[in-house]
Amino acid sequence: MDMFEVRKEGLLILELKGRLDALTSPGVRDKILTFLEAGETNVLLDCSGMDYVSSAGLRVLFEAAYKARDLKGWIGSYGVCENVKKIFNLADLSSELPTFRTQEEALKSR
Amino acid sequence: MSRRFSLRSLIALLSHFKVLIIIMVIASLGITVLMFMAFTQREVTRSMVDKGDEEARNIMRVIMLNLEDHRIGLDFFRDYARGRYEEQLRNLVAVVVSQIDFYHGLYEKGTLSEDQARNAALLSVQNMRYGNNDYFFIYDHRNVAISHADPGVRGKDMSGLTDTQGLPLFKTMWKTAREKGEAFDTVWWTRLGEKKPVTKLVYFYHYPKWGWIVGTGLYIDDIDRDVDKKRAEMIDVLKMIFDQVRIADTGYFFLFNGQKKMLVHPQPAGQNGSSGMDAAPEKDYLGDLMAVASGTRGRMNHLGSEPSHTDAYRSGKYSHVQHFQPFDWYLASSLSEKEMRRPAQTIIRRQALFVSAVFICAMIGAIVLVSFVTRPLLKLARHAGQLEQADFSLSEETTGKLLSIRFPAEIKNLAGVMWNMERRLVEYLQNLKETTAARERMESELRIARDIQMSMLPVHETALEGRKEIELAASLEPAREIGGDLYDFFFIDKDRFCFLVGDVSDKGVPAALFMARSKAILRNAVLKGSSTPEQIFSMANGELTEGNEMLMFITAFLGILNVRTGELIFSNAGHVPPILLKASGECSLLHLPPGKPLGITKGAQFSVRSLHLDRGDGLLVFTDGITEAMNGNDAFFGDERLYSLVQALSPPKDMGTLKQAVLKEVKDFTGSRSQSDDITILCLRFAG
Repeated sequence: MDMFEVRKEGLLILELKGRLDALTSPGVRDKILTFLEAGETNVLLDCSGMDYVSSAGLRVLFEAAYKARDLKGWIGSYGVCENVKKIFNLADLSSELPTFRTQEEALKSR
Repeated sequence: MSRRFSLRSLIALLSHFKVLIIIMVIASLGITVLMFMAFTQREVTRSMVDKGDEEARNIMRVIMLNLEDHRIGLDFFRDYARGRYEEQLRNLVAVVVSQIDFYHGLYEKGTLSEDQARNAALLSVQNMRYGNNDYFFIYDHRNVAISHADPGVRGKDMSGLTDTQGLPLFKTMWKTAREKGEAFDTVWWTRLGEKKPVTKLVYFYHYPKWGWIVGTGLYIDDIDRDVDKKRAEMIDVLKMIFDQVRIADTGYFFLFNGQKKMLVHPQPAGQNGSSGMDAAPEKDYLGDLMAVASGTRGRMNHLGSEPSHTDAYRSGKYSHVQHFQPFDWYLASSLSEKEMRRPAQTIIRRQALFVSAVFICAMIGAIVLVSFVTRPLLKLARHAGQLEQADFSLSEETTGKLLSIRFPAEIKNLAGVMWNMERRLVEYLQNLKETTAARERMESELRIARDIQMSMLPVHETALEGRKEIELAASLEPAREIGGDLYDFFFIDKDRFCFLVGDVSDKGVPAALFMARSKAILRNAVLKGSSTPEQIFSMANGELTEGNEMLMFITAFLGILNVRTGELIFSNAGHVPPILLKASGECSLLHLPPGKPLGITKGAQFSVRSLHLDRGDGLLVFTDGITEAMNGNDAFFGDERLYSLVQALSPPKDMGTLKQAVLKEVKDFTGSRSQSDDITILCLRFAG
């Protein structure tokens, strides 16, 4: 899984590309938590390139959402594809990690 | 066969370091020696022969100088002797001329008439004698001997006389005498009272008053005699020298004249003028030499004989020859090619002996050196060979002992490296033993853990209590020894049958522990009185979130089927939706309410749904280990494939067949690729 970071309007936008599974999730977890602990607590996840989430990946996203909440930050996501969105919904992740259709929508809603 | 064997053993021998080095040393030395010998042979032979040649030429040069010296001496002697004779003649004739002058004076004074004075003068001169019956003569301008001691000549015209060189005597004489007043010449003349003509030096004085030539002559054959004597002495000296001088063993010099007469020859055979041992008698050896002498090379090859076989002319010989013009002499050498080469051969033979000695020494040295080099190597090799069977506790000593031996530095390094390697090997082996033991222990523990985990899963017979309303088949295959999937089913009471499938968000030991805990908690929730799926989930979630700092969670599907009414109530905790199998053969995905996985959200709420199952309806509950099974091309098994497979099989004969078919399809799909996630499948059919 590749990760790219962009900063926009006080927001850290992390682009997640590829599979978020048992193999890649420890790296993603470390990176997101490092950003959060370093004070960049407002994060938007660009999931448009993410084609698969396993249960281990779900755990990382839950962990990131709770961590951001604990740090009084904000976390959201956009561009989630149908397959992944189904998994998000089944696990009721959307209540912890709001999902938007586009980046503009996400930026507007804050 | 034996030949083949010996060839093989030869090849085996060649593969030895030692033998190779020795062969290389021998070969390089041998080649060097052979080249050196060949080169030396050529060079030494050439230079030795050249030197012998040069020596011969030098000696000849010295002899020629000697001859030249003699010639100069002889010329000087001849000139000197002749000069003395000339002076004597001049003095004698001066006396006679003064006598004639006396008579001429009488005529001038008138005492005598001219004829009287002239006749008186002629008469007085005619009777004069001196020395060994020597006399004076007077010629008039007609070359008539008007006064002569020999009566046979007196009064004769002597114009026909020639000198020793055969030229007309009077012609040049008159010319010189008129210009200089006197002239000398030599003629062949017979002594008074003798028959044989000898060389005579003649003096002519021009007496112009009467137009006369007054002269006398002295026999100078004594000069030639002296010269011949001196020349003979010189030949004797040369004979002595030639007897002494030798080039190589039998090379010698000899001297002959233009008439092919041998003058000096050191061998008795050659002294009589024959060609001696230098050429067969029928050959014109001396003639050939004379021809060569007029050429530029001055050297001639020919066949001669050896002292041991004087009659066989087969030995290669060669001669240098030089012509001594003044005497018409030829100085020649006779050299044996074989002898000229002999010193070179001697040198080469000695050199060969010396080189052979050096060669042998070098060989021995090489063998010793090679042994010295290879012995430690052999020792090391033997030691390394023993390592194969060695007990490593012993090897420390032996390699340590090897290290203490005095080896060359490189070998010592090698031994050191081997020693290190050996120690490392020992360490490695110990580590390996330890880690292997640890791994074996861990593996056996994991095996036990797996058994424990499997034993935590319900057994059909006991769980179904022999009830016919439910047909059920379930299995769990962890990706590793133990896994995080779980399933469970049991009767809560007489009518209500509870079943669940869960998937912990990880694999391996942590997941297995969480799975065990989850299973116990879920069962416990039922025992504590929770009777609906959402109550069970809420209670279990509450317990699982306690102290879950790792934020591990479990997704689960839980259903409770009333086997009397066919009513199914179910809740979802983030799980993949099961497939509903209608008795009619229709299949569909069960629509699930959203629900958070258990263990991460405190106070999470779960909703419940209900569904009526007809007789023959069933459910296929599974974990994403099936839909997300991957093949070699990183492709997922996928929902679609599972769905169409189940559709194709519907309605299935029994749940076991369905379960096996799904598992087989997954296995065929993944092929040789190792299982990436735990696989759990639970098939249930309402048979009430």
